Amino acid sequence: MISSAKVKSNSTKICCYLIVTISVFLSNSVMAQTRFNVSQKKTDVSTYRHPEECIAAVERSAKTHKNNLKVWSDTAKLLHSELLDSLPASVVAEANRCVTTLKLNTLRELEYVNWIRAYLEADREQDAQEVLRRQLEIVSSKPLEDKIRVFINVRGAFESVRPVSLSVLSDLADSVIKNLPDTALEQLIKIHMSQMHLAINARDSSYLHKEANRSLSFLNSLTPEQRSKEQYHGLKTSLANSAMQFLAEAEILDSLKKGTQAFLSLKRLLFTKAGARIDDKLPYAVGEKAAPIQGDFWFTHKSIHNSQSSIANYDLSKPSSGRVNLIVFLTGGCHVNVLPSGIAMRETNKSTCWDIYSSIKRLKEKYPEIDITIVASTFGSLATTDPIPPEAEASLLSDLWLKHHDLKATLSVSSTEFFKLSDPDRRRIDMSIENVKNYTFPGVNIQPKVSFLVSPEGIIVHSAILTRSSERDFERLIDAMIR
Amino acid sequence: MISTKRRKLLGAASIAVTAQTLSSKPLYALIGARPEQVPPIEDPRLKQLIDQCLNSARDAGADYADVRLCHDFTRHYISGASEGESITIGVRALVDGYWGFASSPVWSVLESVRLGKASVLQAKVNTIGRKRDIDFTPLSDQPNGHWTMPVKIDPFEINVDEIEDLIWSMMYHTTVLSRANIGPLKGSFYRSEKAFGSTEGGYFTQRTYRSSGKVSFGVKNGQGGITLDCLSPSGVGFELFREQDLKQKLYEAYEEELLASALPVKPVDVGRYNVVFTADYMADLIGQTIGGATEVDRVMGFEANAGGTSYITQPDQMLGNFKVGGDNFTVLADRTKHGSVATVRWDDEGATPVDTALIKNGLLTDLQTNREGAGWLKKYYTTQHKTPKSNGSAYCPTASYSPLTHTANLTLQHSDNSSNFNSLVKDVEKGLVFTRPLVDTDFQKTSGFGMGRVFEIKNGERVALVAHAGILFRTPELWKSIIALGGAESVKTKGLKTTKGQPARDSYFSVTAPPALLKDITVIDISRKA
Amino acid sequence: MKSDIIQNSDERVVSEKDLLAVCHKIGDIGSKAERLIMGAASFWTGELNWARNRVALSSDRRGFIIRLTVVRNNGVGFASTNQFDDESLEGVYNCAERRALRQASHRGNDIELESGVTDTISALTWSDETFDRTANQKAEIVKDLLDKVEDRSLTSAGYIETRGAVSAHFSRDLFSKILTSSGKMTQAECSITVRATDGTASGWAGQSGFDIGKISERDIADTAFEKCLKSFNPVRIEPGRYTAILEPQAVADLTSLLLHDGLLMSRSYAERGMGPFVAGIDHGVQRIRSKMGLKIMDERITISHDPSDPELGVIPIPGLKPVTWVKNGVLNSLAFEREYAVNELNERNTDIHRRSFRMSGGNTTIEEMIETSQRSLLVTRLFGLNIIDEGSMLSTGLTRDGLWLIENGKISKSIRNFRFTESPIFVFNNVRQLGVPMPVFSPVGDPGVISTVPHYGLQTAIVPPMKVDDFSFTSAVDAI
Repeated sequence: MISSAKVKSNSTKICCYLIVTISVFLSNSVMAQTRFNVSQKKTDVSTYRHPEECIAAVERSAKTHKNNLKVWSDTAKLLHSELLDSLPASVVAEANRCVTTLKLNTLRELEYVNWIRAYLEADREQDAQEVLRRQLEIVSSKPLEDKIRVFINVRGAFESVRPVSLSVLSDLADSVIKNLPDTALEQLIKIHMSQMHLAINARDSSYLHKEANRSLSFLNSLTPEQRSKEQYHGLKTSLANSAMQFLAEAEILDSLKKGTQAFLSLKRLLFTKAGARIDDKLPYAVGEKAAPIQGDFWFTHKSIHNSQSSIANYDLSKPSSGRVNLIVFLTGGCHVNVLPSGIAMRETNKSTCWDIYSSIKRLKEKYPEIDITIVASTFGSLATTDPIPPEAEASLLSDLWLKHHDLKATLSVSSTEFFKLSDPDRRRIDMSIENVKNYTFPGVNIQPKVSFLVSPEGIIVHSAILTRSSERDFERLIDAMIR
Repeated sequence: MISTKRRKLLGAASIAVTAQTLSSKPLYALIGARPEQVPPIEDPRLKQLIDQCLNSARDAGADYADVRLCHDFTRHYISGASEGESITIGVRALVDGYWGFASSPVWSVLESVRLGKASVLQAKVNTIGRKRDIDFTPLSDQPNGHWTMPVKIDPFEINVDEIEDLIWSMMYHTTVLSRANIGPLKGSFYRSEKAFGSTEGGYFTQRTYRSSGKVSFGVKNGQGGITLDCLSPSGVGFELFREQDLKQKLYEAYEEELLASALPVKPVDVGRYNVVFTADYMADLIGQTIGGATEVDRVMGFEANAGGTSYITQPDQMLGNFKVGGDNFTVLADRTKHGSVATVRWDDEGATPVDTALIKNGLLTDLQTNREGAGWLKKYYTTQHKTPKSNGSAYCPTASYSPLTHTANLTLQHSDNSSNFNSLVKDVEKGLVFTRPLVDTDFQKTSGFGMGRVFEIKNGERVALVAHAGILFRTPELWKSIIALGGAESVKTKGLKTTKGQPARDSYFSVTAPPALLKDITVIDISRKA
Repeated sequence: MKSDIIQNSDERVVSEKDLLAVCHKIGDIGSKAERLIMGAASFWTGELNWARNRVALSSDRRGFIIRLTVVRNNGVGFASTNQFDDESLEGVYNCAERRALRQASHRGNDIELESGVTDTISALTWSDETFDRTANQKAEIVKDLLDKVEDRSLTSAGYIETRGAVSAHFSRDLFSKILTSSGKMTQAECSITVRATDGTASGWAGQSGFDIGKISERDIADTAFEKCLKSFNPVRIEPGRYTAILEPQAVADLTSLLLHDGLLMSRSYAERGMGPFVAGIDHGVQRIRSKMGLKIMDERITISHDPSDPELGVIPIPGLKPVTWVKNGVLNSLAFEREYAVNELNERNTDIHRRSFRMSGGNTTIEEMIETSQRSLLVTRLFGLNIIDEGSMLSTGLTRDGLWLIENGKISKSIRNFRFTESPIFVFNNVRQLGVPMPVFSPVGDPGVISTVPHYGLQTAIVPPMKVDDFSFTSAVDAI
């Protein structure tokens, strides 16, 4: 045992220490602080060893660049040709720095795809072509499938790079089409389809005409035996119809100016010419009757902005007859991860529907006479917040769209009915929503931003996902109906 | 916005804290304070902090004391991304053969004085028991100076974009493999800065690193996920990722998986087989059967209430006499090998690590020791005409823990020929190959079992996958069954994690091993009940 | 006493008020964050460790921790520090924010957001006696034990730990609504191994809980001592299927295979068709059904967790509500977090995974189980458990520190350890007798973890002894 005297003497010593040490460390009695320092060194892409690292670096830089653009949802510019936008010069320069040090060796499996992408991103198309040449040489003696695979893969690489090089893709298609035997009918149709889609997405009218004509001449060149192949009926018709519709765009718009019937007749005519049978429906719901929009909760832009005005004072039969209507489905993904932060702070361009608001606004500003209806349904909860009652969620939605984004539209919100599996499972099983059922057609599924343009007669004349690039199609058709 | 109410609260707290700091509440010293930023570990002022602590312990009656200051940094990227930093101080004091320990997160003079005192009192309370003899073997040299683990790319000093680009690029490597789907991608980096001082006068600082990663992918119609085995914990920096050709390794693993998935699957036929173990599998077997079993404290029963003991039950008699394996079985322990994860310049008692042959030609020749543990083996060392001294196995993960003996890096000696995994397989007429180890041993490391992916070999070729095959082994019998070991070119180094002690703490060590062919291994059906 | 002075004269942990103030300070620094979730803790542990009949180390350790989750631009960032100074608080926030912004702008990753703070419930988790247990008191107890062991020429190793922790949780949600909670807890554990000096016999006993007053170190020592004495001269018997009397510790070890793995216990895992609790596809609703609602074990077994259960001693943390995983043998619930609750169930309450549990029992004593056995094995505890097949939960492991053969209602001999290959689900379907549930030993885990995420760190268990049929012991093991 140690005596208490000794304990006391120890205490005294502690005091002595304090005096001595505090005087030594007077300005420094506590020396602690976690630093969380960040290295200020610049990224040195010249140390990268594989094209895949260059691709990762470009992806990062491009995203950073995009995020740094202060693109606000209500001022987002109308974008006709995102595919043809260039990467910022600084990103291209970095990509070039990255690939310059790389050495191209033997290529395994599909490795050439990454090399091509990395070279293209660095704006070194010649090098990309060289890789492609090497790869084609490798497969020159291989079966047909291998060659087709090279084409598809390389095409993927070319398409993933901004700006998309349309001429190269066209040449690629040419070379493959030339090399494919007539027996590879399905592949041939698909290649033409891809080219058509690329042309549509790129919104390059001369390219579009070229591809549409090429597709039609391809279809015309088919032998009677190939034409009669039942299994490719849908594919062939679709390709021919797309091509003809684009080539006849001006006539189609003219027909719409005459009236919905004339428009539908021309569409039908072209469709039949494309090979459609009498009972084949026009694609993309065109010609279908637009069912009345239903809703458990209704809001209008005016009722939201004027507290005196009751919703009961408004005509809520949508689409409204005698007017051009735009029905926009803003379902689940548009608000679940946005609300309520979308109100509390500026919306980021991460959310699914951030770019549609500017499109809606522009269309309404340009054509004030159109009637826009936003169709939504409740989810029952918002991200990780508590479940909320449908009326509260609907009210939040009207705050988000009609108030915060100031969309001059009518909002219909359906309460999503669900039943729950019996205890203890208790999972909710959602019942289908009437509006969704009514607006689902062959080839048209309801997803966020799917929009329908409805004629004054209540007939659907166009449906597509409304984006900054598809906005122009809606615009032309509205223009034809109104002017 | 800070509300007026809270401003008052915090303001009041700061004033109170200042007063408390000078009284008896050193834990409060940090709250509301803006202390000086902790300097790099080499800063000489840290020695003053340690000296205050040592003086306090010495004056309180310590026969010996040592102090550690630790500043630890952790960063995880992509999958499970997070970042952490911590600061700890710990003091260990020896009084009449008994150890006491005290630790804290506060680096201040007041706290270090308190800790010095506290550690001595912790030791003293146990002196009421029977006498405890301790032979705290002296150090050959007192540690002095600074050492930084020689890493090529400090992961904390390069731009994080470079780290993320490389890890992320693994996804693009996978996208071009037609049947592969990428799984989790992860990079983890750890930097430990330690300062150590003892009442014997030694003082050193050192900075060590640990890097590891995970690249996993699955193959369509393949069997489960594949994780690259080349990113296990290592004593290197970002060069773990940058200097290995991960692309090549990914392709190899992919091709291996294609080969495997094309093979027929057959049920296991239990019995005894000649088995080829990959270098990766051998590393796990060595880690499990030799690592813990040769830690001196485990041998002496200090882990009896935790992880267990060792098959080395009587070290005095067994050292120099006990055959752990055949003549071709030699295992070395070191903490000096560049790139290995347990490598240090000084251990956590200030000892300079000594490369040690634990098992030489099958014979047990030494254990992994700290200063006290070397003293327990005095009798054996005397017969060997050796001065008992620590071989440098003391380790504590942060200053919050007192040091224990932990497994050093282990090396299974390879053969002198040019054998490799493929040539070993070629030599087998009928047998099995075990890959993707999952090995576990009993609490005495006497026996164990292993699972993994198992192939049947016929006439030197892998001809089938064997479902549910496992091995059962007794350690000494296992290591007496080695027919052939791979040569120098075939060895691989793998970092392993182990847990020991009460309270439990983790440590890491590397095992370098060649692939090997072992005879008459008991193969069981792991899914079969009795 | 001298250590009382050093232990109690200064503050070993900071107050709840101070911790909350630290949290609020980070909340102010991070005013731009869309969401902010943090746990802060201050903890103390007092430890005594012995081996070879002498105390090896006595420790007093203190620590801080702040774990922070920041959401910015929908990206999530995590960071932690153990420093409470203002610079560090700014540093840790900035770090988490930087991480969140990187995640948002550069690449996605697979981070899931933890549940935020919701309600708190009060629980009895603090014992002054535990917090005030001094090193001297521990030393006195251990001295008596060691004297006794050494006098019988045996050797002992063991560990006693007491600890106290104060923690605070803070959450600010998308609506800028701040919720906080704070609490304090103590924990104690004691485990003792007594062995023959030549390593030919070993006995073990242990217990843990929040209240050292309910843990008798002397009883634990006596049990370990007795078990060691009864373990001398073990004989080897053939492996095979035996009726087994599992002491509570062995039952807890076996149950931990199921209960400790958050993935196996999660609803979403089962409903994605993985793990032991998948029933199959319900074509009617196009969903994979878990086994919830189906009988999976003996109807006498109920496995539950109530955070206010003082014997389980879980610190009151947000979102932790009572749950019954298995009710009378029927799988009643699997774990789910907040996101699952709101999205899949349209409910507010969660059943978040936790490792502490209570298992119902019966009233048969171990002695009665022995007396009613013709031929069976008495198992002290299990070690080194590994799952072989997740679907069936077939697992392997070892018996340790006491295994006896019972013949004609009496312990007839000590036997060598076995490796077993068995599934806990199979075992719990073959129950013959159940005893009174009692607290068992579980290492109390890293104090920083259990203070901030106690449902993950704490593994306390109250389980009964049970006698089960057809337990599959597959091979003999020499280790003792």
